[in-house]
Amino acid sequence: MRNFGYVRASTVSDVVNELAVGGRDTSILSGGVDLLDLLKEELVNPDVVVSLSQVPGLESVSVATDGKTTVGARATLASLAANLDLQTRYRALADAAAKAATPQIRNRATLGGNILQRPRCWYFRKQEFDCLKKGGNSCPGAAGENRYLAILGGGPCYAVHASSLAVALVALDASAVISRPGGSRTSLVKDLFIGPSEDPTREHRLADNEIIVSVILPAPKVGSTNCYTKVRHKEAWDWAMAEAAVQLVVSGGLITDARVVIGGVAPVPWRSAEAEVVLKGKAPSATLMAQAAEAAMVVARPLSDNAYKVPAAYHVVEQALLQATGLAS
Amino acid sequence: MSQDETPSNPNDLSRRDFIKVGLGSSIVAVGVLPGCEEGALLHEGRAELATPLSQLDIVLTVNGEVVSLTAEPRSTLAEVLRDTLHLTGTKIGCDRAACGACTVQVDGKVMLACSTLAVEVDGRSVVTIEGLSSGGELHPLQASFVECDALQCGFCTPGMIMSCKGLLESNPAPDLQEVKDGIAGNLCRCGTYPRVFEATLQAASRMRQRG
Amino acid sequence: MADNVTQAGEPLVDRYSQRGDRDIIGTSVPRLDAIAKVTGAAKYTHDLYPTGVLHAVAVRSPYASATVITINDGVARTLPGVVEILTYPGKRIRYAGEEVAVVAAETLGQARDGARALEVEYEAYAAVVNIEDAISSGAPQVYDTKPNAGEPRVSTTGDVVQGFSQADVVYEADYRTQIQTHSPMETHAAVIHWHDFDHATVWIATQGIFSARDELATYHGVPPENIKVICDYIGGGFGSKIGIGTYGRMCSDLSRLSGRPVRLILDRKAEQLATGNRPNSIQHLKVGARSDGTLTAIELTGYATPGVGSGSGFGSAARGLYDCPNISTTEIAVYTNCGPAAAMRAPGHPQGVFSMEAAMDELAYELGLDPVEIRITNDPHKMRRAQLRLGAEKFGWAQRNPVPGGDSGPVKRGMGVATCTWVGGGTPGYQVKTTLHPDGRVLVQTGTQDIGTGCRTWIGMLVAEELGLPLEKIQVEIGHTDLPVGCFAGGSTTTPSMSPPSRESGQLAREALAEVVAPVFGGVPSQLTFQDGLVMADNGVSMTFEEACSYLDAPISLTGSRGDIAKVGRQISTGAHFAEVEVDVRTGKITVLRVLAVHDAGRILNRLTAESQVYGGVIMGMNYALFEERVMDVSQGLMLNANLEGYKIGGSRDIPEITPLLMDLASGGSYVGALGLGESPTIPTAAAIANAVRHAIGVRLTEIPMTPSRVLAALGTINRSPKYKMRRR
Repeated sequence: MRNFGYVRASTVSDVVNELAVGGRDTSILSGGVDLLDLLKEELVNPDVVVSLSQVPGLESVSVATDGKTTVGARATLASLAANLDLQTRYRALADAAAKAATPQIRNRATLGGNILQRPRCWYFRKQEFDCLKKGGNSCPGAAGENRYLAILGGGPCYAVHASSLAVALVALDASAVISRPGGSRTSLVKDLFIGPSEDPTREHRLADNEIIVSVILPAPKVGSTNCYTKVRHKEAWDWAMAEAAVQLVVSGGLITDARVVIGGVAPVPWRSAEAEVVLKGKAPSATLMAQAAEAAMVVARPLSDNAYKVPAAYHVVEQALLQATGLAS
Repeated sequence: MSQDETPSNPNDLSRRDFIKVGLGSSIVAVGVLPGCEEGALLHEGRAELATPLSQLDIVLTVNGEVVSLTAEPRSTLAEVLRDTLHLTGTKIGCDRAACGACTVQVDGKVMLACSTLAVEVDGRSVVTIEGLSSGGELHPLQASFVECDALQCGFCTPGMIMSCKGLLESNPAPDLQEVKDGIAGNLCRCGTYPRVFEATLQAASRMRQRG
Repeated sequence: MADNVTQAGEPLVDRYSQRGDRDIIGTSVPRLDAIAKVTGAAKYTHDLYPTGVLHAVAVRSPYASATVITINDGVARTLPGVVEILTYPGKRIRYAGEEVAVVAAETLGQARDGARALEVEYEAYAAVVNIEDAISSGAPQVYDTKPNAGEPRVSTTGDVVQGFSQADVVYEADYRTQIQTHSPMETHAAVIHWHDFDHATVWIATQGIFSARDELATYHGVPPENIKVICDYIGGGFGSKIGIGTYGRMCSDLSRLSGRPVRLILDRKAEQLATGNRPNSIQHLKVGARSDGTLTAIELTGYATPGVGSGSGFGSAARGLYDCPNISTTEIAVYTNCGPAAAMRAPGHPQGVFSMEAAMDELAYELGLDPVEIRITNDPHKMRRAQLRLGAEKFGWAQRNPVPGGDSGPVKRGMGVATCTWVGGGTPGYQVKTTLHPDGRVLVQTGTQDIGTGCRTWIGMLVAEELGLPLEKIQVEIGHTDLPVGCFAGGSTTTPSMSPPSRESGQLAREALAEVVAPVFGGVPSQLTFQDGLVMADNGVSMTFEEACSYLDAPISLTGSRGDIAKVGRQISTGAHFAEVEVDVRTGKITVLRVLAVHDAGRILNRLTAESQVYGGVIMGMNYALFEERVMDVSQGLMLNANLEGYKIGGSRDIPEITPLLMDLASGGSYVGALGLGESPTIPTAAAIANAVRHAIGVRLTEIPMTPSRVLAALGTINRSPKYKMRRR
């Protein structure tokens, strides 16, 4: 790790102003789990690190009178997993947080950091490899050891988005509140993410002087239900083979709205329009859920060594749908 | 993040002094804007910029004692505990948040000292394995680890015990699966997990009986 | 217990105790060093910071094959805190991770800054990192002077052609096992202080303090007695910490040049790249049997790569696990541009047992025999036949579904069995010294080291047993080269080698003390009994052990050196593992539910630590079966998962219910009767799990680790053509 200057911000505007300083590279330190990894591998070498640790108000989870829930960007994964409101109304998010990483990391890692963490692709994470994500000309992974790379939406870079929380947030139709010089803006979480065909060097659309300060979860609609499932090779400390978060609205015995999002398989949290189309307007049944899962995988394009992710993703989608609708055996 | 704006010389930036608040709580405050509304997330107008610091004075409580030290911003808590304070019970196994050998408690919560900058625990309270048996009496977890042979080479043991301590403080009556969940971030290459499960369940039971 | 016989088939005589029951030996005793380990007080090499210590960081080649042309250290030398730099220009690099320079500085951060500031110019060459590429024509040569593929190592018994002609059924298949890295929790480390140009103190995480001393003495050309090696605690080794390594030599050079203590701690990446591994294997195994299951021929051929090192055999199981009159093995070691292999917990055995035990199951299925029965039919060891029967009964083997893959539903259960043989060869030549002090203190000293197995404790237990004392009265000192010569920790040899001299030193001490106090009792020394902290005469008169010691004018030291260790026949440690798994055929995920591990390690000295060894062996074997695998990128010849995240090792939630079942029969060939238990418990686990998976899903996986991808491919759910095709020679 190279040395850097350290600034402890007191307010969000401090942070935004620090980010606006030209002529230097500035990194934001929230929980720091991913940042320290990147610093140690010297994949990022900032001149200045701005710490959010003393910025007040970023850690809370609060329910507004209109039924929305606002989660601060520095809320830890552990606090999300333990939050009663999330556990009851936004179970997908609480479960995604509870099943991520390890107890120690969940106590430190934050919502914002989780959403904005860099991919775990082992070619990206090794200095010795040039790759698209590091501004290089080609992806060494696609034709190389590609077992953990994308089966959906890949190319030219195939690194998989690492955030489990993002998968849940997109399913829950969440919005991010983003601070920037002079004010703030709101963006749907699903719109934050960039696929590699647009820009392989980054995974999100935040400008360099913007930070996420909170995430807003809309009040669940009447009849809505949500669920998160994950399958991993190793049960203790492993990344997902595939994970899925779904939100369904069931009204009059029919699915009136469906959001199906798959993680661990694509460069962005992958919203499956194919699955959603199958579900909408139909009565929930085990057969329907299987059809939806199958539809989600029609567009899968596995590489030489990651075809196993197709049945894995099929499985998590099917299970999430069955569990969300109480059909799981 | 690289910046697109016209570079300006950091040396020209307005300088903000270190504000010493006192021992105990947060003592380094950089970039505090007097008059800010507490809790407000957004502020209009230009804030002054802080001078990035390259040597940091840190005051933290370690195992109940207040400790002052100077560290580089890049120093991890694990490095400071070991290299500076010589509290070597906290081990570095991977230095990448993947093995749990460096597990300590920060303000009561288990965290990885290798993946926490020392400066980020400024003003906080850290408990390491050395803090568990002060006064010579073993913590019930330590006693059970000894009794059940929940250790082989012993290198993962301090981190393992710290994770178990964190678990029992939030869940005094865990079942086997909850013990497994509680130490899911601790790697033991000798493979002594069954003993750790047994020791933790035994210690939990004894701690409950003791009240 | 099952068979009251030794492995050699003789009636069992408990040769241990002449006075009846044992008080301590065989019981469960917490480790002597457990409190130090649970409080953080135990100092490992990582934990040592002698006054004035310099921190050293090595620069390692990012190229798998290269020559170091120049190294410019101009900038690095000007950096704050940098004290000493050693560079190796001209060095021929044969694997990524090989050392090209090392920097010592006042702080670790400064050493890292110095290492980063070195400008190294390489001439890089094409490299080969897998067997298929290395043996193809025109492949880059790892060594200029010798071909990548070594001379085939051939071993033949009988005539396999004739053997196969006698077979009613022949099963043959290709098998692959992966590269496994040791990944000890404490990475390799040395802290070395040359006090002057001729004398050094060396703290090093080593499995052999004396071999480390001798290796370093030879390197520097000084007498071994000038170097004192200390290893109080070591955070695992599993075979990878037997030599001092390049890191040890670099650290030593830095200290000798600077005159200051130097601390060189490898980071995890360096540990993964440069300190050793279990070689992989590509095996073709053909086994023939008669319709009653009797084996007629075994033929094994294959390749394995020790990287740039040596020692990659895998044929021991084919040669020795079962009785078979016709056996042929051909093993070819192939150099690749990868870090050197090192001995790893039962070298060669898990890979060989994986293929051999797969073939046994397939023959059983083909012949309609029970997998346990076909093993008993062919097993030459009476002890293991008993273990198979006992294990099958305890495990509930009879309850398994008679139809492989016969479970309905997507989650299928299966049971599997596999066996092992380890020749736990102890060696004579070691000493243990017991000193009795007039104040009653007992000090036991020997220059061995405890890598986590618990030898520190049972050495004390053996002496305590002789003196009739509780263990807490015994102080044990190990891990220093100024102590009597002790065994290195490897090959399960510590127990058979060190237990006789330990016991003997206690016995000699007891006899010496009896001589001193016999006149006080007015009796003969041989009639005194040492028990429960008392020295007792026939007539019921007794005194405490401390009181007895008070009759000593000065401390007395007695050295045990007994080395009457029998030859191979009495050093064979056998075992059988039974595993039950669940396979989710939707995702290909395997969950190991339970493992029963039946082992004979002769007399069990400390039941607690013996069972811990079994837990650890089973878990390492399970990880080998399901998770662990070094992954190399072929294009650049680099390891992609040189960490503990991508290099997958199962954790708490992956651990099955494990039941150790130890025979405790004093079958080892020494006057203690104990054998080692380090290797055996890790040998058959992967094979037993693979056989359980075969039983669960009805399809054979011939490659480990058995990842979801491989399970799904075996089931035909996905297409997964092997990336590399093996060319037959």
